[in-house]
Amino acid sequence: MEIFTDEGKKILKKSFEVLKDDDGNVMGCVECFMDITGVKAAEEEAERARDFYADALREAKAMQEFYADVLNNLQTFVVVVDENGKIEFINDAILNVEGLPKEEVLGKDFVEMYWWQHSEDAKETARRILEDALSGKVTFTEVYAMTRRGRLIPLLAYGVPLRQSDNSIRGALLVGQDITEKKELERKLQETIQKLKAAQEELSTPVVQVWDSVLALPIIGVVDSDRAMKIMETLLNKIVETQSEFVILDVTGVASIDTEVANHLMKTVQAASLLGAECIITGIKPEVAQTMIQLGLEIDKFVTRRDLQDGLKYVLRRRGVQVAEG
Amino acid sequence: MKLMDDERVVEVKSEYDIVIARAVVRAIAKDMGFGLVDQTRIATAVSELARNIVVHAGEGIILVREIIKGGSRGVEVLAIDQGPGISDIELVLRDGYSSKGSLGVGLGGAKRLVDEFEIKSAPGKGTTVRIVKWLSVR
Amino acid sequence: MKEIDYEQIPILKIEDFLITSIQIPLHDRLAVKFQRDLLQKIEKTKAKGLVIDITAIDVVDSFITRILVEIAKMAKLMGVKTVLVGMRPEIAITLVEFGMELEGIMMALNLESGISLLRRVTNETNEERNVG
Repeated sequence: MEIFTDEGKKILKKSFEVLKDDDGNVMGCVECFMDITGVKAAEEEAERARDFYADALREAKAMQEFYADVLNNLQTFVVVVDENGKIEFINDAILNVEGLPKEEVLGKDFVEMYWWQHSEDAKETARRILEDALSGKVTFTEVYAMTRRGRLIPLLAYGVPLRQSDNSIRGALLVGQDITEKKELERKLQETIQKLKAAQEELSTPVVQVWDSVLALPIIGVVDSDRAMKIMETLLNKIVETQSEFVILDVTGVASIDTEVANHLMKTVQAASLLGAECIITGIKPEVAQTMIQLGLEIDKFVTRRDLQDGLKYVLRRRGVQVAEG
Repeated sequence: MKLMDDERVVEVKSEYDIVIARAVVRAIAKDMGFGLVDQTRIATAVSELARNIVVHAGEGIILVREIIKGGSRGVEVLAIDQGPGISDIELVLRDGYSSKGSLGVGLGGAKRLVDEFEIKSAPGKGTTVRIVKWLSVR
Repeated sequence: MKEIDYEQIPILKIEDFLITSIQIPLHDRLAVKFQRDLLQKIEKTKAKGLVIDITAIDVVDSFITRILVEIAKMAKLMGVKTVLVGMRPEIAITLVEFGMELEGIMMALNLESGISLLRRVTNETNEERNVG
């Protein structure tokens, strides 16, 4: 019951005490009033505290569920490891993709998981990401993970250290994003670049049929090893395609060549002769001539002329065509 | 050795198996996107490796698989036999070396057609030849 | 069990020349049989030249090279010249890189040019003979 005094509101607890005499007979009763204000206050305080902690706990649980939900609904693969690299948490994305029971994974060594065993390279990369994360570094790497069915998935992987309240590292959060699509786009991009390059090369490597059974190929500009290889393939294919017996390779537009290109050139001449076609090289510049001799190339394996015109005259004569000197 | 999706093993015991080994490696190389010339280079190299097995060891296996290293894709071929082994590897790789009737350019020439080439062999211990050709993104 | 030879490589005669096209894989036994058949046919027909068409061959390794070189040498001993036609571009490139030499064999683009090459070459020989 409540009463109001000059000290404020007080709460009293009323109780009855039965009075008995020495023989046990009830004589009467006494009304007792105990000031339980303090106690009540303490009780309320305790209740509030309980409620507060219950709320906090509920909130914390809700947060945990929320984060777990987020982690589990990501298409990203998430693994949490302890400071020894043993798996503490693995999100649904991985479990669902792999049809793995949680028990099979928890406690296992991250680096020893079957995802990385397909190659030393992958295992090393996995180890590096783990070690970096556990030592506080965040590094992004591309790595291939293998599924149980043997499929390789390209991942963009990184690890983030998980710290305790005293800032020491108690584990790591390892994330792997499936970049199959990105890789596919990359590949398509490469393909397009390849096609553009090929088209460009075609344009800069025009093989022209200048006469019956005679091809001419003026090479202009800088020739590197790759281009030389491409020229060789294009030329040889054209020889077979047009069944041409003679090829005039005009190099007037080539200022210099290196060893690799010179070798490709010799390869082209030899390969052409294996097909049954003869190569005439025209327009060799002084610097190119020097390089070729210094490299010790076998120059009697092909005919040379000063320019394309002279080369054509030679070929026509060989084919029995009368050429009038103009 | 666990066989994965992209691994193929060809048992080589006779001349006919050489043709099979060539076809298998060419098919895999083609699937991977190697151009025609590279397919021919690899198939020729494998032909030499397989022939080597038949001629020197009598039987062995050719293992072909796709490998990935640092973002590059390549085809790896292992030619393994339990034959008498090669006592002088240097000699065998030298051009013009000829033994038991093959033209001799065999292994030395095959080396020039691929990107990586390794031989592990010792008398009485058999031979393993490993070649790799990487897919070039020019 | 006696093995029956179902495999055979056809050899045809056109004018003074023999033409043959290798369409199937040449393994040991078949190669030796092929060489023998060729030489016998050269003798029987008194052919002056031989054209070998390798359009259908997709890999030329050291073995095939040896067989071809041997054929040319054996034919030469019998007074016959050999021309190889129809080599695929990728084979040409591989052969050059591989480092194999096809010595003693002439090359031509196709059957027609192969035959005209043989005609030119064998006529020259005839002329030499007539002069000398």
